[in-house]
This record gives sequence, structure tokens and C-alpha cells, in this order.
Amino acid sequence: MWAIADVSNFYCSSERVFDPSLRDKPLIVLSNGDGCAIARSEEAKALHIKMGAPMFKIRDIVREHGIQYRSSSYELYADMNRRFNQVLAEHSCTVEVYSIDESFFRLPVLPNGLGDVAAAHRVIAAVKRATGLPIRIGLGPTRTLSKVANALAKASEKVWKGVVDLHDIELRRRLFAQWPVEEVWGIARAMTERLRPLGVRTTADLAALPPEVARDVGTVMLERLVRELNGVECTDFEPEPPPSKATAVTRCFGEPVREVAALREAMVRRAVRAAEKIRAQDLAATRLIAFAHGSRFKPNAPSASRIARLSPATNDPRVIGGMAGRMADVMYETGGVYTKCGVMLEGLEPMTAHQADLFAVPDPRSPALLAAIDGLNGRFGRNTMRLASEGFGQKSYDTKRAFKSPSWTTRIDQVPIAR
Amino acid sequence: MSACVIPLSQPMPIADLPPAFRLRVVSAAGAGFPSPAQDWEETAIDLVALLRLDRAASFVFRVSGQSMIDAGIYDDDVVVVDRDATPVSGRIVIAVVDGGFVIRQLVWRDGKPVLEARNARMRYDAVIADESVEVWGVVRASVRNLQG
Repeated sequence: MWAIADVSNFYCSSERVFDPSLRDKPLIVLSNGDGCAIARSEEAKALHIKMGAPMFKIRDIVREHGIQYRSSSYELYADMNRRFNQVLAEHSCTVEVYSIDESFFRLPVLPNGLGDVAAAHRVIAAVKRATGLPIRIGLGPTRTLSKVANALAKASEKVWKGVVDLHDIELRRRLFAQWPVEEVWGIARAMTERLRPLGVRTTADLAALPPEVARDVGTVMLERLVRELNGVECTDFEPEPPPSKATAVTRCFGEPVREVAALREAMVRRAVRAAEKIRAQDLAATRLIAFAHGSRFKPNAPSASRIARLSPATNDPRVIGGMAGRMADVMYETGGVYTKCGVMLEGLEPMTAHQADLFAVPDPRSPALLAAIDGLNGRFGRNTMRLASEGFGQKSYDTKRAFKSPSWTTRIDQVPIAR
Repeated sequence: MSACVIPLSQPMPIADLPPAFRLRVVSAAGAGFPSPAQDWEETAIDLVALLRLDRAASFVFRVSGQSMIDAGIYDDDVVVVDRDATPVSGRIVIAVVDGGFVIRQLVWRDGKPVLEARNARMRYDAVIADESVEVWGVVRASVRNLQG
């Protein structure tokens, strides 16, 4: 059977493991650039802080209620995610990382055909003990059912004590009648609109839809989803499209950028980071898009983007960074005030399979050089080795993370102190 | 290139050979003696593995202050902490007291768990480890930099 575990308020919970002073206070974690609340503790939710609420709009509530806030510390979240999955792997031979705070895994089914709720509680206890993170688990014969079970466990935490098992058809019938269809994993808003004329409002309505009808309304995906809701596992069921063949690195500037040199340098930094991301997956890009713009709240803000073809496909920071820098030069408008820039790498293909360029002569030494750069930066920390065109050190345009907690688990000079 | 033979009736120093005969070390010959150690080779000692730093429940803390010097834990030492170990009497633990982390020895006094410092020269208040005190983890090892 399938199980999915999700960490409740993952970013806030991770912060609280290492900063006990945050445990009984409302807490929010801010997006990159410290702009919006992207994670909220239960106490912050109770104060009606909405997901994505911009900091400037909630400043008064934050001050009035002493809401604590932190910049996002992705170093910490990535490490805590690793630990969470490591504990799951001790209880299951299959672990599929679904997102930074959710993973599918497998648990055995009991002889009576129901899910092993006691085993799920043991997993919850083990994750809490090893990592300090609170999790909830949904169980079901299919991944779709486990996801619905997890959502139910999340919605009524007090009732279910963290585990919902949807192996029981009776229980499914009862709960599905109350569960809105738009809450089902893989049902987007547009699909909800298409289902409404058919009288499909609850999960029960959707599960009762004949598979042929589902295929007509949606696609074969919706048909599979309906089958999965009825406990029939579709092995090729992918409720969300496979990761698009693109990667993006876009960031807001800490301070607005006015000079072309700063814009170029910031653009190169993002391009080099994007190249590093695709190298880690052994991919090469065939298209580079660079953009820069000013605040959309200001009149006459500059806004521009450029596309370039990369041939042969590449993940070389010298090529991608160089091109992105030149694109920034071309885009820059004199007198423009820029607040954000970024690059996207598209048309990603496996490094080994990409089509060779008829006229390009690849430098046979490049792979070794890039491996050396990645090795050094992996071992001694990001930016140990970098392109000169990236500039050196912290810059005023770097993304603001003014309220970041220390990198407690990844930097020896920042580990927690015990007195 | 044609082979060329110089008839030698007696040994001759290499330095006296014509330049074309000068010897140059190109690389180790493939036919050298095999390493006598090759059947006994092992991987180098790996402290990350020995300290089990790759466990999900292993965390690293730094000690600040003199509270545990009689237990051999000094200011600035790095300690490896197991979050999932059971804190039994006598173990050195990391606990949350007044919202901050302390390092103390957990001992039972009159049936009550108590957190005690180990420093005979300075006074530290013992803390009763009741429900309000969280034992965060158990110290498994300490590492000290002796270079100062």
C-alpha cells in the first residue's frame, strides 16, 4: 500500500528545532528577498496571516502580536528534508521524494486488508525523535488515495491524530461526501469548472464518475485519477506533468540596481547558478532567456527580455554566463531602476544525448574543468571558485535574507551553541 | 627510425653516449614489481563514518563555557549529539532550559531526573528535568581542536 508523509509547516518547524525560543510564538518564514510570508506556524495562521501575504501589508499585525519572522534558510530545509527521508527509508524500501516536505513510501497492508495505522504512528514517532519534525501520514491502496488521506489528516489534525487510512471503502464513502473536489490531488481549478456542470462537487461525485465519462471530460489522466480514487492502482499515473524541461534562477535585488555593470554582474551570477543546477542533473540547455525589470508598482519601469539559442547544447558557465552578461548590456536602459533579473534555461536535454553542432569544436578539457569547479564549490562552499565576471563578495543587489537563522546543520561555524 | 647498434667491448658511462641515446624517464614501466600491499589494501579511516555523522539523528553542537570541564568537555569543543538516543542516568545531554541550549549530565537524585553541571570550582544551579525541560539529545562524542 501507499503512504505519504508531509511535515507540518515544514520551514517553521525546522526553525523551531534549533531555536526553542520560537516554539510557543507565532512564526512566519519569508520568501527569497524577504517579501512575503511563505510558511506560517499554527499560531500565525490563527492570526489570519495568509499564505503569500506581503510583509508590508502585515507589518502592523506582526508588530502588534509579536509575530516572529525569519528569512528562508534553504540550507537548513534541504538538510532537514534529507534527514526526514532518511528516517522514512529506515521503515520502507521505497521512498519517492515528492516535494521538499512530502514523500511517498510504502508500508505493508494488514491481513484484514486495512492499512497499518500503528506502523504509521511508529514512523511519526521515529521522525519526531530523530529530527524533531512533526509529520502527518495518509494511507491508501493507491497514491491518489494516500494523498487524499494525508489532506484529510492535515485538515482535522485533532480528530485523526496525524494518520488517516483510506483502505476502508465505507470510510472513503463517508469522508469523500464531505471533501470538495478541488481539494483532490491533480484537480486544477479549470478542471473543477469543467466538472461542475456534471454535478461533480465532492470527491464522492468524482469517484462515482464512470471512467469513460471521466476520459471525455478530462483526459486519460482524469480517468486514471477516478480509477485510483476507487482503489485501482494505475502504475503510470502521474497526476502532475513531469518536470518541465527548464530551470530558472530569478531573484529580486536587495537594493535596486541602476548601473549597467551591476545589472550585468547580477545577471551573470544567476546564469552561472542556473548552469550549475543543470550540471548537477547532467543536463545541457539549448535556449537561454534573460530578463530584467523594475518594480511593477512604479510608472515607466524598465522591462526587457532576450532569448538566445545555445548551440551546441551546453551547461558551461563561461558560455551561459558570458551570453547572459551580453544580454544584460543590450537590455539595459539608461536611467532605468531595476528590481529583479533572472535567467531561464530551456530545452534541457541529457548531456550525453544532445545533438552536436556541425561547426562547433568542443574543447576536450572543458568537462574536467567544470567537474573541478563543481568539486571545489561542493567541498569548500559555494563561490569558492567563480567566474571573474560574477564579481566578488556580497553585493547590495544580492537577495536580501536579512533575518536568516544560522545554517545550524551545514556550517561548522554556525552550529547551535550549548552552554 | 632505424635501429642502431653500437658495438661495445666494455661498459660505457651514459653521459658519454651520443645525444640520440640519452635516456629519459617517460613513465613507470608497466612491468614493475606489483605492490606487495595490494592484497591488504583498505580504505583510509573515515571519521565521518566513525562518528556516524551521516545518521538522520546526528547533530553537531559547539560547547561554550566551563560548565562541563570536570567531565572533560571544554569551552569551544564540538560535540556530536544523537537526538534519538534514550537519555539514561549518567549520560551527558543537550537540554532546552529557558529557551536556550545547555549541556549537562543527567542523573537521578531521590528518584528525580536532574541536570547537573560538572565544574567543582564554579556554582551552577541544578535543574530538575521535569516536563518543562526538554532533553534535546544525548552527547555521544566530543572533538577538540588542540592547535588552540
